[in-house]
Amino acid sequence: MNNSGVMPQEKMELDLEIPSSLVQVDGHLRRSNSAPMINGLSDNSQVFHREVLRSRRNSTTVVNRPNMVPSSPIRVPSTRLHQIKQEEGVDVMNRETAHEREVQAAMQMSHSWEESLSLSDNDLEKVASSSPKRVDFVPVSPAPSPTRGIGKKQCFSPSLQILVSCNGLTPSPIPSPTRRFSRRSQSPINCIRASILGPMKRKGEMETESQPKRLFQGTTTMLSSDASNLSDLSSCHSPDLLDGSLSSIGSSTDSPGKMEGVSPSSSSNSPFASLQDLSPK
Amino acid sequence: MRPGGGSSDVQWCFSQVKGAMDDDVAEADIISTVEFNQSGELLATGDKGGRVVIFQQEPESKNQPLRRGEYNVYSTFQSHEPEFDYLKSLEIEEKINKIRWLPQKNAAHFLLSTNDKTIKLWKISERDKRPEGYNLKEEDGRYKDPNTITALRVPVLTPMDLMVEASPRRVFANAHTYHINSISINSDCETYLSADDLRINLWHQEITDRSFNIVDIKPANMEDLTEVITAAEFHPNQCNTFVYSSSKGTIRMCDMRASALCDKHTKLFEEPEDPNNRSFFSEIISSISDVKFSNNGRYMMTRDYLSIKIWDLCMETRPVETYQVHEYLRSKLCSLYENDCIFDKFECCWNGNDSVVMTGSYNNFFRMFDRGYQQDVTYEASRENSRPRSILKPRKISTGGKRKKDEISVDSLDFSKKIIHTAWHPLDNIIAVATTNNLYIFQDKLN
Repeated sequence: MNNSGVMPQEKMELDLEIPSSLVQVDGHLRRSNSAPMINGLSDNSQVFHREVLRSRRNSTTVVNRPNMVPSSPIRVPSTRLHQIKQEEGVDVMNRETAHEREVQAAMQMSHSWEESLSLSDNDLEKVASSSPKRVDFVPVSPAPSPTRGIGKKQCFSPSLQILVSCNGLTPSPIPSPTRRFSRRSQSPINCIRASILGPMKRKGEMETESQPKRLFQGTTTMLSSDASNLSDLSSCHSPDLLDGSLSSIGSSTDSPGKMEGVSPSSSSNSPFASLQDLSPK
Repeated sequence: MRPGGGSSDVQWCFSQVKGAMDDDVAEADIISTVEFNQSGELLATGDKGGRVVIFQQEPESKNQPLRRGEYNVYSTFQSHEPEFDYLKSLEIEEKINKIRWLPQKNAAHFLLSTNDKTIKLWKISERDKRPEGYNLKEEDGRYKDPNTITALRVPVLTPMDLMVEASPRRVFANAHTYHINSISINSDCETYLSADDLRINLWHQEITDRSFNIVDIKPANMEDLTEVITAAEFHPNQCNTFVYSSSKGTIRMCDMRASALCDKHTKLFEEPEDPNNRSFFSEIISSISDVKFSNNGRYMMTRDYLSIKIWDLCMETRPVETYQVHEYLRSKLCSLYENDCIFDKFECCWNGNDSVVMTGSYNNFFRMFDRGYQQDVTYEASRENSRPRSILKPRKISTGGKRKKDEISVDSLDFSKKIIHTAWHPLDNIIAVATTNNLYIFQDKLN
């Protein structure tokens, strides 16, 4: 229990013992909210595929009362409580072993998955878009530039309904109204991706083809040593943080490249103006 | 303000829907939070891809004085990026868990957005002028050859197309070991709290490098952990009071004047369990997924899996009102446990004058409960009802054997279509309801 009132950043607790192996399950890096689930007999539920709509679980303890158990085999409860206990569990050896097994199985699965996909191009595109976070087992290099700590200004034009560069000049060419913006790509993170709620095209689409898939370019703030923490903090203390001053962080760096979008939907009086009716591809 | 009507005097009709209308749901587009600002002019949404989209209500036009303005995209930005925790070899999702607007003090708007680990303060400001006529630069930004400059001039501010800038002003990071589930802004206009599964921290809005830990329920031995924090909120006008809910169905109210560390609660709100309803799943479904104070600060509402409970802050022993959201699911808990739906964390909201509460359900249904008239109604957010100004028809679920016409049987409900996030305009009868990747806006019919 933390008895002091103040919790400075340096005292971030490191009492978590988590195996350091990366786990690739079905193309996804294991996230801190996933828990191994022994799937029981799933009835004819019409739930979305779990990988697509996985949401973090609420957590409760599940009391095992022998007379009132579900008819299907009891699986490991995917509650938040259980996940936390598991992550901080003492039995490291067994967890390490279990993780190794998972990794092996996942590698085999992913390998056979790729093989089956290579047969047809159509399927490949579909699968690729549904598992965008395939990652190598080699961790990417850490510690991005400290100036990325605070992020950049992002500017949007309500009349054009597209992102614009922050120096006020609209990009050219004018966005094509017929182009349907597709879903989030596997491109590097540092270009903004169009939200489906706003009728914009992704910026910098050219970058996706030329650059390899690099996943973690965002700031890494969960560093363990005090020194690293302090260096991260110092980057956040740049004068740009103080209110009132014109922040120039990255203000004119975003040369737009190729920008496309759908036509603005807001101004007409047509009753269907608000429907983002995008034709299927 | 128009009286917040319930089902008796208000007819809800479709106004707008945002998002793609196809069946393929890109995971990044899944809406994860919806929030009106204090005036209702702005509506913010966050999604699983870490983006924030802000809609602005158009002012009512003079030609059509009785028709409310539409909501159109005003700003959008990438709030959070995916990150990697090297220590634990775990990915940190960029999904926006909560957005909270700060009260507006000047022309700019400020909001807090958070993912599992990091809270950010964003400033959203308009720019409609830009300087033209630089001495050293061309209009497109290229630098001039200094030798060609023969005269000096003062740049002039010229009008330009409205541009909305979103800039991150503060990043509040590295304060949460576990997943942040709530943020709440204090009425003192200076501080706010952030809550994760085991701890609650108090921040000053200006200070990013430290926070005060005010609640810590982590036991010395993790084997003793039996419950987690599920939601937390500050009282709307008592700056010393906040509540937090737990996975065991309890709500604790704390007073920050009592001590620096609020582990000891001031009040504990808990309803004794009904012995008739006890089952293997009792504890799971008692977990509170959302807690919201009423606007007048006298009540609070909690949402657990099957019901909504309204508590009088002066009475801890039991709620003053209980509304069943989808009681017909009680006999299906086993299946819902199998497909994980039993862990869905539904949110709830009050209308402006606290007379009606609303929450979501499955099959894209959402429910409203009128506290005054003691009536409830079920509506559906669907494309079929998406004709402009078409009036929403109440839906009925048939639980018995005989299904009447227009009723839907429980077995044909689509549990993949769930409405988790809903929001009610603070002053008007306008509601925003999020299905998986669409945002529906409904309003009451003006005559």
